[in-house]
Amino acid sequence: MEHIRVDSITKTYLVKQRASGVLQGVKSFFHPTYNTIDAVKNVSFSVKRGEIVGYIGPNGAGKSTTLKLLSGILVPSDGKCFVNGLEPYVHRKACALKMGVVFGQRTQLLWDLPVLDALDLQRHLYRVSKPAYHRNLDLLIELLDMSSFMNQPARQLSLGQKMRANLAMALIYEPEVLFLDEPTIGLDILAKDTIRRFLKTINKELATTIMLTTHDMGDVEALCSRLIFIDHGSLLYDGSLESFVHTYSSGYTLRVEFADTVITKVPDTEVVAQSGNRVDFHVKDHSIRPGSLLRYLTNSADIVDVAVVNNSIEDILRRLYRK
Amino acid sequence: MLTLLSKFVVVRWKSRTRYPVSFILGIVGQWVSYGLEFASMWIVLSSFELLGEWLPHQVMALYSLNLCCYAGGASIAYGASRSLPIMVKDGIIDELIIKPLNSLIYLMLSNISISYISHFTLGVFGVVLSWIIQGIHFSISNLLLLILFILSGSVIHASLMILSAIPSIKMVGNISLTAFYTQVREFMYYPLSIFSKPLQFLFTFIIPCAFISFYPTSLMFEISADNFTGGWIAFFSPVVATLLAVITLSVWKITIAAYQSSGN
Repeated sequence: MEHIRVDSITKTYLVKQRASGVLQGVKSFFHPTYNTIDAVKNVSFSVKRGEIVGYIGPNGAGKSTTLKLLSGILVPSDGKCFVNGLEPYVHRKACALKMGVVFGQRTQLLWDLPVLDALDLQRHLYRVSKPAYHRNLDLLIELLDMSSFMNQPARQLSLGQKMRANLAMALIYEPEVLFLDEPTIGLDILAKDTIRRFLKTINKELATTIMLTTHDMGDVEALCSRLIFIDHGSLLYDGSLESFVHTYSSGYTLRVEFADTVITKVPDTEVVAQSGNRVDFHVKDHSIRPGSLLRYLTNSADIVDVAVVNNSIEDILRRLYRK
Repeated sequence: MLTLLSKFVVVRWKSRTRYPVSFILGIVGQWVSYGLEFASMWIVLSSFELLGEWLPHQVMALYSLNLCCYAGGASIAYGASRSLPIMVKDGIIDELIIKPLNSLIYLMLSNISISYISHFTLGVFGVVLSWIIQGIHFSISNLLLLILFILSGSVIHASLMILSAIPSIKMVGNISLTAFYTQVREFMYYPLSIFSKPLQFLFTFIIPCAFISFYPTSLMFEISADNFTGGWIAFFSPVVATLLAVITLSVWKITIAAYQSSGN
């Protein structure tokens, strides 16, 4: 059953053109001209109940805009989207009761008051019964390891603690759908692990549909069975993670550590990473065999170490983003 | 809704009283500030026999009723009107829209203030003193009428505060319209009848501030208003308050639908 459905959705912004110079500035004040920016262009996809979908793309691709359309914050310029069968920008209140939204850099906590007070307020706002509230609270405290800071005001919490508390705020009323916009941004590896484990658990136990945007491919690899890739507002890929790697991974990458002279210009190769004396050469479509490339390099310079590197999702995305 | 309102009041109370010294100093400061304004007005008015057709204690009643209504309106709307432009600029207005509650109501509830106790108590003191001087009976009907006018006036104040802040959703960084409301409020300290006819028309039919305290005070003190209406118009205060609230909600709804959000 489709939990989320997006039908040819488009979001267009009119951005005023900035004029240079005083005279042009005065002219544009009275006769402004606008640029049309398509933040999201004719995007369509659907998400089944219980799926965890990674929604990825470079900065400015339209990821957050899509999430804001799905959570009812923005109204589409064209097309429609549905969450639980309802258009979220039309039925905001009804959708809000069944939807949790967490923006990585924003907080819903009360600055001066303990986390427990914020959760209690959330209970009244979302009309959660007392038994359900206490049951959910106990579960969230355990899964998110929050017992140590439940009585601390939000202003005293670390970033990781705030993120866990914000997740609790979004889940205390058991939403059916969870939208996460960069939930692990700025967190250390342990905090990320906690959150990833938590999300997997609630997805498994409660069949919560999760759609997350992230730049951390660790999140994608740990959580998502499905990936949607968007760039310049257009949907470029929608499918499984394995298929994504297979589709976009072509050729191989040879990591070479040079002794002293570093060579970067090698025909039919692309330098995808360089750090000190270490250079990663990517060869597309096996146009040169690894042996031939290695012979060329050893004839040109002294090499300390060499390895064939598997294409990670990050490597693939790095190449895609550069295009 | 009442349960939710009381919950928000408790939360805001807890938040403010976490810094008890600041909270108490704030209340005392407001008492002193408005008390001095009260006293200075009394001193100035006592030098005049009449202001228009108004005796000094009647002008004090006008000022005091306005203060009560301002306290009521500001409690629910001042915080919202001040924080809205900042929220728009910082892109955190999104939080209002994802709540299972009308976004304006949520904005007002989450910015509710309990710090207007000083304004309200001073206002009540001024009204009571004026009634005693005038010889108005503290009958049930008069008290109910007073409560009705305070509620209506509070809603009008709240609506005007919110209406002056709403343009900031479209015009990022707008502060000037909220300052405009503050200036308009100061006209209400004095009897409307001393102003020119165009201003009387403006504050009766366009920006209906006169329904906050001028017309109700005219009615309660039986002062014949030297303008184009009679004291009976005061009974329209609740109607004006309701209409203005509906207009405010409608304008908010239309503006929020066109909200563009900010980048992430």
